[in-house]
Amino acid sequence: MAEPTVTDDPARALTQPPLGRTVSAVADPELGAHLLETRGIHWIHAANGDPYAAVLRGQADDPYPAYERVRARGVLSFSPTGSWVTADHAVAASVLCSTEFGVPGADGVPVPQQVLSYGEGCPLEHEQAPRAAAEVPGAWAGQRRAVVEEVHRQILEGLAPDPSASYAFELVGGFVRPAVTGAAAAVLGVPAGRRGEFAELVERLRPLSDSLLAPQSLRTVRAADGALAALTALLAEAGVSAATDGSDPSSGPSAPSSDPSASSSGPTAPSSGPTAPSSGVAGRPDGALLSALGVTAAVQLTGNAVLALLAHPEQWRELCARPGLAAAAVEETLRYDPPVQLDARVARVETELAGRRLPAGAHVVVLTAGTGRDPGVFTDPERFDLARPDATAHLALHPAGPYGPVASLVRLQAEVALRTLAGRFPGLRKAGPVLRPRRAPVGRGPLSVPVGS
Amino acid sequence: MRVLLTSFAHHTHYYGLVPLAWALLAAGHEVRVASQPALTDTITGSGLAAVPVGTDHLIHEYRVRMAGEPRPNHPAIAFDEARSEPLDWDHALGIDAILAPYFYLLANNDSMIDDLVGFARSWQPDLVLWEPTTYAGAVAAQVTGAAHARVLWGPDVMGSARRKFVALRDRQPPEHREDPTAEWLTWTLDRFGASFEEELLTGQFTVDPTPPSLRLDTGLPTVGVQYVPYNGTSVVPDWLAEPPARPRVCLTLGVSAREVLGGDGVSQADILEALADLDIELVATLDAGQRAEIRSYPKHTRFTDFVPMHALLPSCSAIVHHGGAGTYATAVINAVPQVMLAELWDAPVKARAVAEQGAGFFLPPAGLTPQAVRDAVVRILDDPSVLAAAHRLREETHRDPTPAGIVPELERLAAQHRRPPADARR
Repeated sequence: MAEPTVTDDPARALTQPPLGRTVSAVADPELGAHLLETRGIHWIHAANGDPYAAVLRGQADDPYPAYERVRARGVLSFSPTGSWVTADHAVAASVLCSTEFGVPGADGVPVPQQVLSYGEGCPLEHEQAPRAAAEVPGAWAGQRRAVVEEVHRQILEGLAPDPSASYAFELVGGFVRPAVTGAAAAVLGVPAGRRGEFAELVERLRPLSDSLLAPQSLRTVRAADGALAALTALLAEAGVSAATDGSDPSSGPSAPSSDPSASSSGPTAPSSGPTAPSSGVAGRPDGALLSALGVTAAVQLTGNAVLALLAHPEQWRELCARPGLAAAAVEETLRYDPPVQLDARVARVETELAGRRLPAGAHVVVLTAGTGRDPGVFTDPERFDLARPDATAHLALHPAGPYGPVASLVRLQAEVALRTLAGRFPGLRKAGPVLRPRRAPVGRGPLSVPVGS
Repeated sequence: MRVLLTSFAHHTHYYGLVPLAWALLAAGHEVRVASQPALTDTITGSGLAAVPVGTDHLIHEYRVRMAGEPRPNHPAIAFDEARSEPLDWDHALGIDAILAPYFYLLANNDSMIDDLVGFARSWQPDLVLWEPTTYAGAVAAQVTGAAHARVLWGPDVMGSARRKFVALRDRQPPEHREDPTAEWLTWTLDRFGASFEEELLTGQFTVDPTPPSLRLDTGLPTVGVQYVPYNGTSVVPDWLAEPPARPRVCLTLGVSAREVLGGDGVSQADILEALADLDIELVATLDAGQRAEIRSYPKHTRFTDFVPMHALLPSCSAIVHHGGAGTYATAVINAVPQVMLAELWDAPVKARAVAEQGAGFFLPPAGLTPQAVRDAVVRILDDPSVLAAAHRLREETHRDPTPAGIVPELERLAAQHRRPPADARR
């Protein structure tokens, strides 16, 4: 049988027709069929050889070979799923920084390549207005570090090893997730009596970013939709409305100067920041909600950092000897294995990109994780290296993207978690197989990592 | 008892149910056949009472919208028995990830299921017999408490695939498990206040017309039955009354003469040319348009638009075909050695099994040459062991009871599995 070739012709795209309504307005049979049909199309495209469809299918523990297959197709290629795809650092940067591209389309309506929409209440479906939620701040950035450190320390001290297990503890469920979630709740000012509920809702929202590009099960989508509403209500009832970078009057869009990580962190951000309207947050506590979604990113970032460090034991020892390297470890992880692997944008107007004409409404997916391995930018990109001089040239958690407003809180959480771990467990090592999720092409991080000390 | 038979609206999928429906009717049971409206004339043409349910399915419309995908010979939906690579979870899941939305949900559209359940609630069948992809029948039975069983039209590739799927699924960490078909049936049954059970996918038991040595091992409770052909309404042509003067070979590929088979550019015209010098009587099912495209062919060739296989095959010495269910099974019961250019669905599975029994040859369209077809036909005509193997298979089919013969067993199983309706079982 002849090897099928992947089309590079937009006219031959095969994309699932959009639902046209938010998920809460669609009954189970229609939403369920939509999700199955979309997954079926991705599966067919992947089987036909499209590497981006293979990424969306999310069946591999290691997506990086697929990113390289995308890179091999050119700096900008068309996937038969209907999306333009790039793993090229320069092309990606020009998309992420351009006012010609937005998270939703120009009219605010999702394009068909976005699998579904949760509507206005989903902070990942539109740009953020980083300063708009500043009226009722949570803990300011200057105090945040102390709050986060205290929670992480308490969780680590309270670790009760499972005597029945062959390993000392499970890193993600035992420490990273409860520490990061608890710290976020404390920073946001979630009342103590509701932190269990907060943690549960945040965990149900873990597949939220994935579900916009890769169809999840009906049950997962319903759970996420319900959790989005419940978390919004919880934060509103608790009087929580901000913990974005903008909540700190003394800080700019990059890391605040009071944050010791600032010297080594902060992506090469455009100083202008996103061009999103500054209104629209009233009655919609995006900042707080986004901070809650940032929990997932911080858990994943921490998990990826620990796995990279444990795979390079000399670098873990280096970190233990010099805890100040934690911030550098976070930045190198954001380059090497970021928690948000894909960033989707929509052309607001007809535009040209990498020599190709894109119509308004074109869906462009930046393989952010692939851009961190761009050999034209990073020397020896497959090597994880705490001493890398240009690690911060990565595009992860881009300031102009949905996670931009909470990027410094995400970094802070990961940095503190690494410091805390390194201080307490210098002999940390993997003690069993790492479990990674399926159908999670956007949010990357281990589900569980058995470790010994 | 009351027996509801159902098949999605596709005539060859339906034909496999007909002789059993007649047997039940003749034994004094009440019989109804439910399908989408498009099958109504086919059902009434088979002498049975039709119950049109829902709106017509959109399988064809989806194929057009999907630019032909999933193409029927897509390697991603090949059954394990037709592959050479070891089966892994990703392949097993991929089959369902593609077939659930692009076959099962379409063949069993929501309005069809709704109406079928509505009819079953009103008519109260004791037993629902369903074509093996018409899960609507299982849903109606689950809701109303009727016993239900699948009636196969070929080897149980679906039951075998499900068994392997479940085994592989249960070996995955819970976080990796996915079951598209079960998910669909779960939200579907939810509409009627009923819940999913594994037996909805394979029936409480299975009626299998495949001779035991060609049957797949599924571990499922199975009632073997002799295959009785029904290929639709037919008129026997008068030339069949004359015994053939030389070995009669049937060629029927279900494709146009110019359409190539597989990826290697062999057309039906090429095959006719390769057989041209044989001293045979060839019966080729080609219509007038297809005949215009052929170049050379055996001297004694009869072209025909359609001939009922059960009338033709008793006089044949060999058949070259693509592995369709009715053609294959009719060849088996008439002890006709088969050359199977098999590629789609269960066809390669059947072809491999027939070849393993020595009763024919499996020539995959990928890599096919006209010479290989010619060699296989010559071998069948020259080597008596092939005919002997075909006769052994036919003898085997006679060991299972006829459709009439399994009616008492169906009565017993229906009584055993009959339950109160789902809302009373809670």
